[in-house]
Parts: sequence; structure tokens; C-alpha cells
Amino acid sequence: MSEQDVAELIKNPEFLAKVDRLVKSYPRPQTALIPILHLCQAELRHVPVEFQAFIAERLGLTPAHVRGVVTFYEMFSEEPHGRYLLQVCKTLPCMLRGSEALLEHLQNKLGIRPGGTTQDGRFSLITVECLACCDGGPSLMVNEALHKSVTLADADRILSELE
Amino acid sequence: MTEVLKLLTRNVGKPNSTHVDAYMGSGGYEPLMTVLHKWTPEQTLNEVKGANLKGRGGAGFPAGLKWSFLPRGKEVLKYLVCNADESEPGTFKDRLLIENDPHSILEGIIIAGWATQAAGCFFYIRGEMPAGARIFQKAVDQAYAKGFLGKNILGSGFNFDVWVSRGAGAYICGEETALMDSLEGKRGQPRLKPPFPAGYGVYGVPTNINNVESYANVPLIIKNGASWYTAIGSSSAPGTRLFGISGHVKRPGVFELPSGVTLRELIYEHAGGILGDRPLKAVIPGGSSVPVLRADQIDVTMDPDGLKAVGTMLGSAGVIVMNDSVCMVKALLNLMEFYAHESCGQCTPCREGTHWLELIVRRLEEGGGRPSDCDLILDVAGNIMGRTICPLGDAAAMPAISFVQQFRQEFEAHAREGRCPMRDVRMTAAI
Repeated sequence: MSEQDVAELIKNPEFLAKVDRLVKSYPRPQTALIPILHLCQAELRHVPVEFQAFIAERLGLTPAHVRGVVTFYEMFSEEPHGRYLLQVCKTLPCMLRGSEALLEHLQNKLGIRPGGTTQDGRFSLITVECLACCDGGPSLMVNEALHKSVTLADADRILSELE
Repeated sequence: MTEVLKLLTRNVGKPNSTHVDAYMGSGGYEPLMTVLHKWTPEQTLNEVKGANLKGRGGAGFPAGLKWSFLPRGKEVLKYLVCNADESEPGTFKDRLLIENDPHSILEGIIIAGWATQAAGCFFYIRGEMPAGARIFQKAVDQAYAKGFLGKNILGSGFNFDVWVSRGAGAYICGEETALMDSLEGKRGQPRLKPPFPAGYGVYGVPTNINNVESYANVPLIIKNGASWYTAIGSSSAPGTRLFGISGHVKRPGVFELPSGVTLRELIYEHAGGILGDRPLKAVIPGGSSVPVLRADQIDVTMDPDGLKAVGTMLGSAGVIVMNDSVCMVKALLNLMEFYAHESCGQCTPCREGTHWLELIVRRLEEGGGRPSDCDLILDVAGNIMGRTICPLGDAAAMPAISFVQQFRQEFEAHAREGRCPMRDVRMTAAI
């Protein structure tokens, strides 16, 4: 699956143009590595080793270096997550405003634990550290959308609005 | 009540506040024009030095002095970095500026570029702020279109670029040299200093790095003058601060106030008092890394000297408030999980120490604690302090030590009773 997805992605002219633009937009190409990994993560919902090999060659890095980077940063994963990544902030300021209840509610509703993905592949649930949105605790990020002061009813509504 | 000052937040809430035209409509980019057309780089640097602008990222180092550490002259390649990797728990002030007034940050960056004759600035924003990254990139594009960035800016002969780069989820990348490694497409692991960034920064090029809020102060200083600036707030750390208050308060948020306002006033007046109308129990005054205060210690001024007097620090000015429904062991456990998770793993005292602190605090909270655990926490934390390449180790040790020192009886009660004495108390929540 990954192999095929990567093969398609790295033949896609639009994607390659984006990669080229990033490589040229910084004083040195290596700075483009993390932005390019973001592109892949957004497209495939993970960064498979096949893509790591591709981008290593493109930037003149070793695959081991790229893998070291992918595994260091929380926002990159080697396994695909669901279509919607539910990120519950668990750090102290959000905990003080109710993040434990929010997490428990989402777990019960979706029948998965943090790190899990629903069987239909729609939702993955993870806990994350401080999102710098402490006045809006408990905060929940769904893919790139940040939701603040999320009540249990808000959480139900947010989920029901996703396909 | 101390009046809220709208200096850094002057444009927050205005229509189209992120657009260059709105920013220019209220005098924006005039300070940049002033320095480019009338001031030498040296004069510009001296004005910021004279304002005694203290860094707003947490360490409070004088920004102008830091700029002066860079080699002089435009023939030497130099870079600036804007640290927008806001990740310190309890800190959410830079997000406010990035999302509402990106041009004030950008103008400060370009003025700093002129003062130091740097070639450009990397704007490193944390990966979890995709909206902020888009907003800032748009501001950069608008600034290029208006001729505030690029070649020969406003006919001055000065060339300056800004590159936006996103992090990808790592607290450690807020540390300046880890951030630079991350900008180089590497794992974000702090570098041993010296050499300091002013001599060896991004790609080994001399680099100056400041926080978002620090840069945002610069246009104000240029516009109004250093003596105007030093008259605001505390003399040791002048200007306003963006105080972020979170946790158990009725009105959490960012409040712009002169430095030196009291912690009590911040909590009870600006933030509306304690959530649930319960007694205050504890306050972390400057982001999760600084020592915690008890409720009887809040009659202090929010400036470096005032907080030093009670054994803590202003840090990032992120205030986390806890009422009496909070178990302090549980609160510390949350923080220890954070630091153990975010340790980059490079230095043994931090990699091992943060993990053991988490395990010891967890067993206390879960009922398996031992009477000797308080001393064990102090011992482990004490052996991290000062023994690591970067401040993350200290940042984990300081809360551990202070929680035990300030609330020792509560920690001991956990060990004595073999359970959390507060397990039946429902913690106040906002939802």
C-alpha cells in the first residue's frame, strides 16, 4: 500500500513542483526537509520509508538521517493515522479545565484508546502536549483545526460534522 | 486596578488586523522607514540597547546587548531567527501576536536586520500552529509586495529576506540551538555552548535569535524612543508584558500590563478571580518550568526582582492558577510526564532523570509511594540541575523540587495513606 502510494505521489507533477519550490525557497536545501516531510504527512497521513528514501536522495542526505528526523518529531508518523486526527491537549493548563473528561468522552464515544484508530479508518485519537492555547482549555485539534474550550456537547457536534 | 495598556496588542481585535494595509493605516512600517532613511544601524542598535528591552522568551536576556554580539558590517554574512516555537506549558502570548498582528513582529524583525546588517531572518513557528504559519507567510508576501523585504528596501540599499519554517512537534526546539539544528533539517538536539549562536548559528553562520514578543517591541521603541520605553513598568525589566493566565481563573487570557503589576491583581482583578469560587492553592508564575508558589505568596510584583524574592522566576509570564480542588502530586505528575516525554535524550541526567521523576511521582499518586520518596525526588532532581547541555533538565527539576518543598505534607500524606488523599475531590473544570 505505502509503496504504491509513494510511487504515485513522487510521480505527481503538482507535488513535485511543491517540493521543488520548497527546496529553492531557503538559503540551503536541507532546511526544506521538515517542510517537505509535512507535505508527505499531509498527503499520505504518514511518512513511509519509501518516501524517506526518495527525499533523502533528492536532498543529498542519507535515508538514515531522514528516518532519524521522522522519528524525532511527534507530527510525523511511519504508520498512517485515520482521516481525522483528534489531538487532545493533556498538559496541566488544559487538565485544569477538564481535558481528562474530554479525553474519556472521546474514548468512550469512539471505542478507542489514545494511539488507536477506529475500524473504519475515520478517526485516530492521540494526546498531545501543550498546544499554546491554554486560555482555551480544554483544547482539541482536529487535523489542522483548533477548537477551544471544548465541552462534551461541543465534541459531539465537532465529530458529527465530520464525514 | 492597573490599566491594561494597548501597546503590543494595539491592533488585536481590529478589522483586517493581519493585513499590511490595515497595519500601515495606523502608522505601521513608519518606524522602519525612519531607521532606513534617517538612522545608521549603530544608532538603531543603540536605541534598542538604551531601552533595556529584556528578552520575552523566558531567559530575559537584554535584546540590544545580544544584537551587539554579532560581528559588525554587512560584508559578514549573518542571520536572525525569530523563535515562534511557543511550547512552554502555560504560555500562549506569541500565538495572539502571530495570529492577530504579524506585521508588528515582521517590522521588528526587519528593523533588527537593519541594526545588525543581517542577510535575513528565519521565522521558526511550531508545527502545531498551521494557521499562524499561513498568516505569517501571507504577511511576509505582502511585505515583499510593498518593498519592505527583498532587495534595496525602500531605496536604502539594504537587502533582507524572511523565510518561514515550521517545526513538527518538539518542545526542545524552543531551545535556541536545537531550533537551529531543526532549521538545518536535523533532529532538534541542543548544541554544546560555546560557541554561542552569535558566533556559530544556523549553518554555522553568526546568528541572533529572539522571541516573537521581543521583536514586536522594537517598532514601539523606535517610534517612541528608549526613554519613553524605560518609563513603563519596572526599571529592571521595562515595558509591558503579555501575561497569559490559565487554569482555575474565571477569565483566562492574555493581559497586556506594565511589568511590575502584582500577581494578586493579575489573578483576582484582571482574570476575574478563582474558578469555582474556591480558595487559591498554588500558582506557577512564569511557565511550567519555574518554581511554584503557594497561595500566601502572591503579593509580589511580576518582574524578575519581585519573583526572585520569593524564589521563582518571571520566565515566559505564563501564569497557571490552581484552586484547592487540585492534588499537587497529580499536578506535578502531569508536568513530569511532559518533561520526560520532551527530553531529547541527549544528556543522561535529563533522559534518565526526567523518566525516574515521572515514575516516582506516579507511584506516589497511584498509592505505591514510600516515605522516602520526597527525598528521592529532591535527590534525583538535584542531580539533574546544572548537569545538562540545555536548560530542559533544570526546567524539569525546578518544578519537582519546588512542588515537594512547598507542599511536602501533601506528598508525605500520599505515601503514608498509600493512596491519593484527594481522590474523592472533584477537580474544578471549566466545561
